[in-house]
Amino acid sequence: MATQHSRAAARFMIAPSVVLLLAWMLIPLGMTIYFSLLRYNLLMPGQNPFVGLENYTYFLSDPAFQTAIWNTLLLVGGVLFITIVGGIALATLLDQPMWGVGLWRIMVISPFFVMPTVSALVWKNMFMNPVNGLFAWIAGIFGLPAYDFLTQAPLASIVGIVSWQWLPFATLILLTAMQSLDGEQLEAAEMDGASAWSRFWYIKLPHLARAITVVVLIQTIFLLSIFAEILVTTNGGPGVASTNLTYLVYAESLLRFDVGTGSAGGVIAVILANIVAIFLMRMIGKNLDA
Amino acid sequence: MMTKRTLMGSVAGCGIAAGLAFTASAAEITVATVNNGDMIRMQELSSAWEEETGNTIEWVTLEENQLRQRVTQDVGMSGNSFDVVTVGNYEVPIWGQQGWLASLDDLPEDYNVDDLLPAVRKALSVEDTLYAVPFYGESAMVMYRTDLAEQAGIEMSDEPTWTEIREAAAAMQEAGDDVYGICLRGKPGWGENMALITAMANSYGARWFDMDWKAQFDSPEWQETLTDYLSLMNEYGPPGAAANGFNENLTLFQQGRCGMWIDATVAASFVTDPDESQVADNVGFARFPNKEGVDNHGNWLWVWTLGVPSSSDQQDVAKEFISWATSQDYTQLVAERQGWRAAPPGTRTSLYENAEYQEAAPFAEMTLNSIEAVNTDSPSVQETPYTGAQFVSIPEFQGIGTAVGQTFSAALAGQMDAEQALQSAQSATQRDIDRAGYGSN
Repeated sequence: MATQHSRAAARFMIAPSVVLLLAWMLIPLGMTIYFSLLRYNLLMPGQNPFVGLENYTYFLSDPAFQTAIWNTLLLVGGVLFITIVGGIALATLLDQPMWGVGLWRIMVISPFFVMPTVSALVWKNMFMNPVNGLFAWIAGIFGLPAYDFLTQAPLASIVGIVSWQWLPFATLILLTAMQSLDGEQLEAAEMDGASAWSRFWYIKLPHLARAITVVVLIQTIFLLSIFAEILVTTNGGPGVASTNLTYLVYAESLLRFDVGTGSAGGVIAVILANIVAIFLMRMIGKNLDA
Repeated sequence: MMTKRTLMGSVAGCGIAAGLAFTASAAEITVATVNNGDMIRMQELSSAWEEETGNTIEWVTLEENQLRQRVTQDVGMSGNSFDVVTVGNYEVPIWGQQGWLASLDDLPEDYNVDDLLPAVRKALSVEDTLYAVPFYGESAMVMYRTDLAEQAGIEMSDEPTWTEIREAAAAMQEAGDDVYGICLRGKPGWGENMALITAMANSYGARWFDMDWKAQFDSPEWQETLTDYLSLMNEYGPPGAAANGFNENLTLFQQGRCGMWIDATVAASFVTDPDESQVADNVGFARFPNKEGVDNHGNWLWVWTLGVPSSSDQQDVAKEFISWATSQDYTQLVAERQGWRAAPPGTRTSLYENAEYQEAAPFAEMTLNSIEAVNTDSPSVQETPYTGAQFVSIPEFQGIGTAVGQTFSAALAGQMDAEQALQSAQSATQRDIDRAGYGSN
């Protein structure tokens, strides 16, 4: 049993690591907040006056801001939808006994190990390019004009590229969950005369609920900050058609060298991400308790 | 991102440095430069300078946008990573005024400052003090296929108007197989599509701001400019033009896919190079077009320069290097190794007086005329509160120009019409300029 004295000593001894950890987190955040309150443009040195919330109002009233929020939601939502529906479908397929199952699984997983920049480059130049790309070639076979994906449907194209990368992750988690399902339950249902669809809908899918929640949670965290794919393929354009919040912050701080507004954008992004996280946690907490 | 060439260059540099370690005065300088053809050539040739002086160079070679980001951040925050930086004439006066660049009043006698083209020298000076030395300079002009023009039965004048350009584009598209009448920049960016569109607007009599710093995108001149640009490109331009910048158009023109191309004069030496260009023998040159009744031909002036950040602690060696790399001797060296056509253009009067150069470069006269015609003090026929030619010489322009460029590029991609693009350009520009406090004082 710890005495009052030894507890104090313990606290004293872990203090350095707590302080270090706090500093690790708080200093960067504190700097960002501090910069976001200054008018600080790298191109205009001299004094950096304190301007209060001016940077925030400027960032929030930017016409690109609304588009960026909307694009961020579409991007996250679109990719989640595709990866979960596709992941369930693929997991169901891979769960079947079939020839060379190990090989199939490796092939399905492999896109996840391709670096985002590389996959974006491959999609941009080898598939979607309207002159030399594979899709243009296929369209040519059928006598159709080439479709310029990244100009005509930039956001949808990026959703496609990102989904391709994250589909394996969803498949992997869902497949593992599916394999943990008790085979006897399914057998019993089958004997009771339940159709394949009913077995999927009433037994398999409810069983997958937790796994789906995990996929949603983890993917949302990563998808909110998608950047490389946008930078490589469309540079946020045409116009601001494929600019998400991360890209907008980048444009503000590195293309315009406006450290103040860029920091304000960063703080806003952190706040929005936290709001999303709180909702997700609630939702998931409920799901995981059940 | 370092290119392989840079890596190899620096490995070689280290080797030399090791060999010369005992020569006490040898220094190593870091040079940041852009990956354009002329600069790559400079990298190869500067081993001559290294051997001569015993100094060594560490190269940081980047693509233009990356270079600008790295250098601006470094110089702006006194990061001291570079002893020589490659910057454009947009940055030089602004940075010179802010004290970011060392003044170059103390260049060696034989550098012959008076030989620099007056327009170029002026663009790189603040109150008669030079802050960077020009590596190569350019204006803009029309490059066209003489064979196609002949086939189409049209005669291009030396000083075409936009109406003539339009007619020629139609005729050439008609005349050639797989040829687009005209290729222009569409890739967003203040140094990409906005360079062309601003120059074009200047030739239409438009301006960015009036004397009270009110944005002018709601003026009839801008409306005409953008409408004409869009219809020209939609009718006679290549598909996917919203992604074409200088390099993309250069490739298209070299492959013989463009009837005309209006862009930087520095492109002339590439399109007439028989090793690279399929149309090398059939290129004609004409002045940047103007609109009927507007006496102004675009006023494009861009100079890639070498400057020394004032934070560098090896300024003497750095200055020695930049005066070598932009000297008449260097031009001579290029000519000896790779022929006169490859000489860096647009910086020195002596080059244009050189008979051998005139012989080798059919575009020399048009280039010189175009550069000499530039008056960066009055880019438009209307009065302007700013200077600068195909850009507005204020620090905020990078941000504003890029935002407007994005809008115009989206219009070219068919996502909005000219009217909407101009409206959004107008409000975005006014918003930024108000925030920066122009016009209020």
